[in-house]
Amino acid sequence: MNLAYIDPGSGSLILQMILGGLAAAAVFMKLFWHRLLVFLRIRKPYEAERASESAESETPAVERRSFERAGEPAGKP
Amino acid sequence: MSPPENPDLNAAEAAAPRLEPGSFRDWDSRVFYDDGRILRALSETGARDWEAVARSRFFGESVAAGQVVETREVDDVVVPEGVAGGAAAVLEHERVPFVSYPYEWPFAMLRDAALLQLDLLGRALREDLTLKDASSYNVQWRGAQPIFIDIGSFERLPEGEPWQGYRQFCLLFLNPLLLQAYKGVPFQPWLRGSLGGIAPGDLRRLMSFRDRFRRGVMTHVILHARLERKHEESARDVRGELRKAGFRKELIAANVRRLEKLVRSLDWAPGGSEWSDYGATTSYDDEGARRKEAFVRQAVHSRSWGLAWDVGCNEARFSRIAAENARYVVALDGDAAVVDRAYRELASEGRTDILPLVADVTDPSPALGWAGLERQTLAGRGRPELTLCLAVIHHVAISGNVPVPEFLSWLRDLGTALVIEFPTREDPRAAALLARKRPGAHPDYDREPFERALAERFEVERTEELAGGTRILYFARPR
Repeated sequence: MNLAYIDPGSGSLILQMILGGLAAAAVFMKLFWHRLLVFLRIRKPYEAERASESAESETPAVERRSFERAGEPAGKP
Repeated sequence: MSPPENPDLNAAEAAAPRLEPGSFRDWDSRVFYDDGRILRALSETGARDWEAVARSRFFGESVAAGQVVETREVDDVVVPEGVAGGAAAVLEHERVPFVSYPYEWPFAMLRDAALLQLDLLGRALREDLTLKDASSYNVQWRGAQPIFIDIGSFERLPEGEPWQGYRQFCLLFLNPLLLQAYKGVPFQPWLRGSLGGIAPGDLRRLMSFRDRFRRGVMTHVILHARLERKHEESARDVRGELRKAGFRKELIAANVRRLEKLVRSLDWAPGGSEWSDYGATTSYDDEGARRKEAFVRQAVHSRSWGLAWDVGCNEARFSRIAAENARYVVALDGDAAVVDRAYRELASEGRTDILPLVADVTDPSPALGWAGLERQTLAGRGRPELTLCLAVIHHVAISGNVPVPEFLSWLRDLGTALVIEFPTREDPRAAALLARKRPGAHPDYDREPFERALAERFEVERTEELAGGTRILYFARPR
C-alpha cells in the first residue's frame, strides 16, 4: 500500500465513499423521477431520454469546464 | 522566471546548499537552495512519480498556461546533507517573485487558489495521476495569477484509494472559505494561528441550525466532523476496506467536481469596511490628486527598482504607478475588504506584477511553524528597494500608537527608499483620529518632529506640500 506522508484521516476516507454513494443515489433518483413523470404522462419519453442521457453524460460536461473561469472576478454585483 | 535581480530577495539562501526549513514533511521530496537556485531532491519513489508526471499531457499544458511552476531535471548540483538516503533525481524550479501565505490572502485569492488545486487534481486523475496532499501553501502567486509550486505533490494514482488530500483540502481551503462566506468571519487570523487549518469539528461548533442547510455544510462539515470523531482511534485498514468495496477514481473525480461547484458558489461581500469606500472619498481635489500622482511617478522613475512595497495600498492605485518601473510590487493593506477588491480588479486585468496581500504593518506576519522557520516574516521574504507609505502614517502612529520615530526606524532597517506622505494634525482625517484620543495625545505626531526624525534616518531628496499645506509628500533615500 502506498502510504501518504500526511494522515488522510479514516473518517475523511469513509466520507468520500459516502459522498460517492450519495452522488450515485442522486443520479438514480433523477432517472427514477423522469421515468415516473413519463409514466404519469407529464413528460414525453423523448425528454425523459434526453434527461437520462444528460444525467449519464454529466461527467464530460462538467469536466469540460476549464480553470479559465476561476480567473474571472466572481464578485456579486 | 529568472533568478532574482534583487540580491536581497531571500538573501538567506544565497550561501552554500541549504535545506528549505519548511520542506521536511514529505520524505519523497525535499526542497533546498544552492547559489540562489531552487532545487528539489527526489527519493526513488519521488523520481518515478516525477517521470510519470513529466510524461503526462496535463502537466505540460499546465506549465504552459502558467498554472504550475516551470521545472526541469538537473544533474549539476550536490545534494546537501540531511536528505535521507540521498536523491534519485534533482529538479530545479522557477522562482516565484515573492512568497506569500494563505493567512495573507483575501477571500477571493484563497478561493482562486482552491479552484486551481481542484482543477489540477481533476485533470491529473484523467491521466491516472493524483495529488498526494492539498496544502494551500503549495499555491503561490505571480501577481494576481495563482501558480502551483509543489511538484512533489503529484504522484501516480494508487489504485482503488480515495483522495488522501481531501481532509487537508477541507482544513486549509474549504473550511476557511465556508467560515468567511457563511459566517462573515475572516479566516486570516485563524489560519495565522493554526498552520494546519480549521478542523471540521471546530467549524461544526460554529454552524447554527440554519447553517446546516447551506450548501456543503451537512456533508463536508457536520458529517465529516462526526466521522472523524467516530474513527479517531480506529486502527482499521479503512483504505484496504474501501479498495475491496470497489472504490474507483471516478468517485474521486465526482467529488472533485462537486467541490469545485461548491467553492465557486462561495462568495464574500464585505459589509461597509473601514476603507471599502476610501478610494471614492480621498482627501484631495482633482488637482491635488494629480500632483500627488506626479510626485510618486517622478520618484518611481528616478531609477529602476527591484521589489517595491505599497504600504496601505487601498485600491492599489499607486501600486500600479510603482509597477511602471519596479520589477515586482507587493501591495499591503490591513483591511481585507479593500485587498479583496484590489485582487479581483488586478486578476481581471491579468496583472502578474502586483501581489496584493492582507497585512497590517503594525502587526506584520511573524515567523511560524516548526522551529519558527517554516513560515518566514514578511520582510524575511524580500526587502523592498522602494516603499510607498501614502496616507498611512497617521493610522500607524495615532490609531496604532506606534511612535513616529520607531515607525521610521523600521522603514530605515528595511534599507528602502521611501515615498511618504505626512498629514499634519490639521488634516481632517488625522484630526478625526486625534479627536478620539486624550487632548494633547501623540505630541510626537507633528510636522516638525516628523521631519527631524525622518532627516535622522533618511536623505530627503524632494518634498511637496499639498491640500493647503496639511499634507506633505517626501521622497527620501536611506542614510
